Amino acid sequence: MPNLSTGNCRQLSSALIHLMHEFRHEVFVKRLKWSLPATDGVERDQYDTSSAKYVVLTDDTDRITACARLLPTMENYMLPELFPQLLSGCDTPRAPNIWELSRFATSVRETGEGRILALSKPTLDFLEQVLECAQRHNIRRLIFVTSIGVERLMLRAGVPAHRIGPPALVDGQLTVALFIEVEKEKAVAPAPAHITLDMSHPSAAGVAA
Amino acid sequence: MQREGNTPDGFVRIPSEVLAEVELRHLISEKDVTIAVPGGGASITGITEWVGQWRNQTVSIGWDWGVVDGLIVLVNPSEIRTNIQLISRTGSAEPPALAQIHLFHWIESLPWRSGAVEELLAGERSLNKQR
Repeated sequence: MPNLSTGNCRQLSSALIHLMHEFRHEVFVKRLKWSLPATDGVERDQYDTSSAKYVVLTDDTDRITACARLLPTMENYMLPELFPQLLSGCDTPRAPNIWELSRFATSVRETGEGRILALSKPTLDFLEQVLECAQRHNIRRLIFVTSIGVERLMLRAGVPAHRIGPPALVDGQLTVALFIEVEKEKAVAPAPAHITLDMSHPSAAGVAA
Repeated sequence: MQREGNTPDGFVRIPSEVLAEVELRHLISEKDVTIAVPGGGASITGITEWVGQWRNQTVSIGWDWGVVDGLIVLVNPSEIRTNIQLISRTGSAEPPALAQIHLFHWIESLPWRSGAVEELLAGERSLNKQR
């Protein structure tokens, strides 16, 4: 049975936290080739503090199959510090009920290249679990930095997301900051389970479905 | 000047009847081979992004296009990407389907084909073309 764990680094076991950092290294550094701080086979950055909340999905063999990180906007977070150009003059969102979603990843299954019709069902299922977790923590809105390709697929899936400002080229990729309305989630549409997708921008959130 | 947009939820709220008054400028257009076009048949696909100002707030809108039977068409109109929320005369948010129609007509009033995509089709990436 899949098992969902949520909490900060003190609430989750150190073993699970370590496995999560290994999983992130596998997905973001090895597979997606992102340029991220990584040592000894784990990926960890300055935002992995005790303030971060994690959502971790494991399978019946205790292997991690998906993870995500939530950062409070009342403290340091990625959008204003790493991607200020995506705010385009808008005020930096800072509120107790607005958090940032990053390091969103699910296990990758390789598929052929081609036109992308939808986010995979495992990705949407996990996103829904993340939104439910956010709702339980009284989070009203999530910030998500991602590619406009993923923005398109999120809209197609019925995810209640809209952009905060115009996109900008970041490392050659059109990247945009989104708000995801937590309270309005539920409308995600079913999708084929065979699609592989890089869900966000390097250094920000991300994914492989 | 009154400040109506970029509320804490990130939306720029614009009355539908004045949408046409918002001036946009081309930000960037790119080819994108991953875009799926209903029914297929698009030989080339891509995106185009435009920005503008509404009462000192930055408006962003982008959409997908494809070349179908030699014509440049807007594809996936239900997936227009924006931070605009259209407001009805009663002050409430327009229903999504109606907002989509308004946005579609607005887009089609813009010189986006000649001002962005045709240039792109002759080159690689189309940047910052003024309206």
